[in-house]
Amino acid sequence: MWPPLLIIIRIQHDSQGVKLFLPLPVFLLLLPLVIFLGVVLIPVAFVATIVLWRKGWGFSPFKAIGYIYKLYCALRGLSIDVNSPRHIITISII
Amino acid sequence: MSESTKRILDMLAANKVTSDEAYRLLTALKNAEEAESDTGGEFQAPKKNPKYLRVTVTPGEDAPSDKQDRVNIRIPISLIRTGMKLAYLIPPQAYDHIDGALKDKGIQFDIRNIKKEDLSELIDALSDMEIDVESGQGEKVKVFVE
Repeated sequence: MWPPLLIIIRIQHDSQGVKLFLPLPVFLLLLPLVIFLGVVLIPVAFVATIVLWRKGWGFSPFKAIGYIYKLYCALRGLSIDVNSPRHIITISII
Repeated sequence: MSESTKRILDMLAANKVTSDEAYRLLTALKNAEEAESDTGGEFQAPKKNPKYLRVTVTPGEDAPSDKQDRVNIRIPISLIRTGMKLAYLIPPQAYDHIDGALKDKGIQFDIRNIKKEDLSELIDALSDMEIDVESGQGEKVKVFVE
């Protein structure tokens, strides 16, 4: 399961107005952030597991990290395109 | 001899298809007829594996120029599946609280009855879903799975 590589955001207001075309290389921008958050969150998840163990939520912090990563990977292919006479908004995750 | 078989043989006789193509057509026809007899007379095309949920809004032809909005949304089915799997994070001890809260609202439903296979089947059944709405102004809204 591969994470998304590119997010394309295009916003255009009026035919001659504001134009914004932003292809974001996700693997360059977000991967270091994801790694940093992972390094920070794993100890937090350990502590949360110990605290929540008695209430039966023990494995949930680790499962949650796994599911959130899967959710992030599942974003590949999401595309939103709104085209009105005055605005164009396009968000594509590749 | 069925009508379709006769038509294939006529095409072969008229050299419109080669003998190899005719053989393949006859084999496909035979498989279709066998499938039809297995399903009690209703031929069912094999279900596709749904990949995207699509929502499209197209304006009517007579819509005024300032109301010609078009929307095209494509949502990966894997996103829906993974989102539903977040429900598995709920520990069993919480189910009683959830059932109690649902019963207080008058909903007699046991959340333990939801199984992984049911959710997969529900998502696979979406491949047959198609919603088509046309407003009085000609605006069309379509929700379908591809």
